[in-house]
Amino acid sequence: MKEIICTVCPKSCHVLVDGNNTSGNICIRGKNHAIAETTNPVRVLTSTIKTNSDINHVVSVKSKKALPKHLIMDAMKLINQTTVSTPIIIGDVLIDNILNTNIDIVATSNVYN
Amino acid sequence: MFDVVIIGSGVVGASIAYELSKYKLNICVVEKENDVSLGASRANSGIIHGGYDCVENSLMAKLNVEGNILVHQICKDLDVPLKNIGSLVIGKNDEDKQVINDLYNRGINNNVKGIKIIDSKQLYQLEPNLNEGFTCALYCESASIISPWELCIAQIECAINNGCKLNLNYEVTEIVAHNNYYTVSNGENSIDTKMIINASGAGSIKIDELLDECDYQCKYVKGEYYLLDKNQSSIVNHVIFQTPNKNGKGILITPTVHNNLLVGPTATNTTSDDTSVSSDGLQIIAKQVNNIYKDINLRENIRNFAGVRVRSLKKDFIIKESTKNKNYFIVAGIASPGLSASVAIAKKVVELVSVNNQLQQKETFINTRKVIRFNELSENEKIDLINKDKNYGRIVCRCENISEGEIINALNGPISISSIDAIKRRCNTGMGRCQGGFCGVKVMEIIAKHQNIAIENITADKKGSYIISNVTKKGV
Amino acid sequence: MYDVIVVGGGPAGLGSAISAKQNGAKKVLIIERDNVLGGILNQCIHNGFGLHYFNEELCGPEYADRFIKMVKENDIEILLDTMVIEISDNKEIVAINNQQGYLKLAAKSIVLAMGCRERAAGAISIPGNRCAGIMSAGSAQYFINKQGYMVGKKVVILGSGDIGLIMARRLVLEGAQVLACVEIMPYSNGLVRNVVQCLNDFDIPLLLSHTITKIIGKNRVEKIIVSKVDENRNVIIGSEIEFDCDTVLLSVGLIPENELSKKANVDIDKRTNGAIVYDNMETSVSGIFSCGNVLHVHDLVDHVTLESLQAGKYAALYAMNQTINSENKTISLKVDANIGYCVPQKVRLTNLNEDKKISFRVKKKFDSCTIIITNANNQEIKINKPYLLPCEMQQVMIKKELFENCDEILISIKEKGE
Repeated sequence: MKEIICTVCPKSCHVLVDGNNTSGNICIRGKNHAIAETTNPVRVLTSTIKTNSDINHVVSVKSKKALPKHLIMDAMKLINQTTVSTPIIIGDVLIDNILNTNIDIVATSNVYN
Repeated sequence: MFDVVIIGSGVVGASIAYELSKYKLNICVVEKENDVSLGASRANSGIIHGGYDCVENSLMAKLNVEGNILVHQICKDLDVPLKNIGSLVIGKNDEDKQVINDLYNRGINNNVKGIKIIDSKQLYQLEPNLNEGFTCALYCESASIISPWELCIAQIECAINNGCKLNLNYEVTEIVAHNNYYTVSNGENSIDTKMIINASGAGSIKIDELLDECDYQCKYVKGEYYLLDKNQSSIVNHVIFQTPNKNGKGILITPTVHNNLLVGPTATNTTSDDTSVSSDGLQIIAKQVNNIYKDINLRENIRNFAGVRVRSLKKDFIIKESTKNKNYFIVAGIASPGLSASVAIAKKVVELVSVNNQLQQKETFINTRKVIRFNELSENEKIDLINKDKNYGRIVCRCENISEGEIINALNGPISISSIDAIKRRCNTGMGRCQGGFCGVKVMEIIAKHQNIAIENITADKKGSYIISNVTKKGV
Repeated sequence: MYDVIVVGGGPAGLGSAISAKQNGAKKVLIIERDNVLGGILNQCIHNGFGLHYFNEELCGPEYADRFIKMVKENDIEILLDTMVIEISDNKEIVAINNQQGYLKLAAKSIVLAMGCRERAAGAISIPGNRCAGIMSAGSAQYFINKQGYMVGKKVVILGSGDIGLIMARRLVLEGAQVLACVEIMPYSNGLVRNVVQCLNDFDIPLLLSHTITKIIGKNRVEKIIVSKVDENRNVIIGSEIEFDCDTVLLSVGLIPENELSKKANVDIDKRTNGAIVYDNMETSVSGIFSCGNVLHVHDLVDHVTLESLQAGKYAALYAMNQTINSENKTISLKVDANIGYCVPQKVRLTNLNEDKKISFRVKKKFDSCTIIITNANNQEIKINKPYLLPCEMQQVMIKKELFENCDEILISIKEKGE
């Protein structure tokens, strides 16, 4: 039995999860979210990557899909070791298949110079 | 060999440098901090007092009244903000009335011009927002408000333009007295000089002790303040003092030359370098202020700060040549009204110096200084200025409308600076309601670019007050 | 002469300019003080933007980019790096920049979209030293996300607004230690999603009913004292906790930036610190409109966009036919003591051709309650809600029929069983 604070909507139900059974949620989305949080919690990672530009030192990035939560800090290590060249356009893949997750790290802002 | 080393670049050191630079002297000002005016000179009420408050026949009384007159011309010459708004000591009852009468008589004896006792009708004409119940006041026409740090900066800049040297980040740790000169040292670099003037404010005893001097004692009194948003400044027209009573003087309320409203100071004994604010102190101010003006809203606070004033236990300024060390001059215990008296103190020091030293006036003394304050210009002046220099078209501080051109002027000034607060003292960036939340970053970028230093090395204020701890992505 | 000038190129400015153009205004100009469009979104690199408007989760710069593209496609003029220093009530704008210099620009209508600023350190009077290392969360966000500079190694965050929470996560991801997030209220001011994903995920304690009572440090923050407060927010003596830290980030509220609005004589609502507006987003000055965070602080950019589309539309209509908003009888919108404010504050009778969307914010948390909207004729609309939170702006549609034959509408909250 594990208690999850649901983040699907701001209501923030405290959901008790026991295997595939939940209580405390008021919707099905909450149930699915709470079960996912106990089995394989995932988060979209957003950060920045260093560029070779003197003007814009960093470019903002995200993981294209949510990464397993336990891989977040390892992903940050790789992100911090990467330098990319300008120009960079939103959506450009800057690190592909990070940590063999099949998920890319993509640019979320444009850096032209 | 310098003729004079002035230790300290507060408003007293600055005034002395300015006065002495009119003479053919080789002068060096040494300052332990990274800019001038970083002690009591930047954290006080910013008032040029009339001079009725000082004990009769004291040095304080004489120099306050003289300084009050002299400072106007200096501010005009050196473009220092000063507003002659007058002051009021407001009273409620017979007891207060008696004190006000005494102050009036003292003022007359001290030769203060433009003082009179006014009745409640006249008082409320001058101060319509004052709470009800005040019956009389001492009006002093000659009281003014000033930007204390700008008075300091202006005089040092003028002295530098006339050949004076300024060594920032130079903390005097050793003084050796030779036969007819001194060697001053910070442990790394030594300076030889014929004369020393100790104008180091709260640090004066420490300097004196390097020469086994010091026949006086000081105490350190902390004053805490609220600085309120400009939207509060129209409530009060004059410098407002409460009538002193057995509990002390109480807080004062005054508009500032930058159109804020200043409320304070408290008075608590402390150590020479304690500029922290306390919840007790802030509560004392909060308790008093609405007894005077109910409309003043302390929630419009944009900054709390505290300053330390040094009082000599002799209760008067100490301005003298040492009896043990010839040509070592001590200027100490410059408590309130030290700012008001500062320019007269400098004249007094010149007098003392000239007793044993032949002073010759320079043939040419550059006695002008002009600061561009974009916000205060007319429309046509603004247009002309931007046409001349595009940097005035880029507004950096949006609360006060300060342009990049003004910041670059400050960086090009005679004093080498690299902190955000140094820019603030010269241009008023970050003096507004956001307190640098937006422009601080931009100011840093301009300093970094202009002085060609890494942004990590820019401080908020004194040495060690770094803002950036590191760069991100250290893994690279 | 411009049809519509929009002051501010953040989400509200972008939305209103596009909407003005699409609703018939021919000459539309955006004036932006920064050197890029997008406003604060450019430094909000976290995701969660656009769920309502685009039905997908975008990061701040991505959300901004979609509107910047639309602005460019719609042939809207842009002045970057330009500061508006004056707006007069006859709709003349004085702006300056370092290219064209001093500009005087006339507009048939103006949209105010200047956004908001963070409450500064001074405003909260924390006892102690005034050393470096005390910074607003938004400034830290700019340094880290836009410039790649770290602001500290050991950080305590004061206030649990969303920016503070989001910065807690950013700091940890970039290698800093976040020792605690300290909130004076007994509940977080940010969305629970952010508490879970920004604090709980990284084991950062959230100290509710606590505040910083002293900051100690000679030149940079060295140590802070945190104390517990009682239900009246008075400090409980003896509850002090010490934190060795070099940085305090403040996330203690946002204030609409209305200095220009005041210069234009726009009436300000003391509750929102923004303009008082009619249902068409027009302020008390005819032809001057307001939207986004300069009008009232929003929690979702999607709501800002929707509001700005309204403001832009009506600014365009005003510019094309200057008489539509001539003096008319108005209906006041009032709120009860449970509600902090509502926007718009007034509805014009002449505009009763459509239902009205009203935004408001409750003052405290409600479980299972009813929003009741009553007119002077005692006609009521009731909307049941499982919960209402101060951190979440509420929006209700009021049918146009409810406004007929009355001069006041009251919005109130009833708790279940009350």
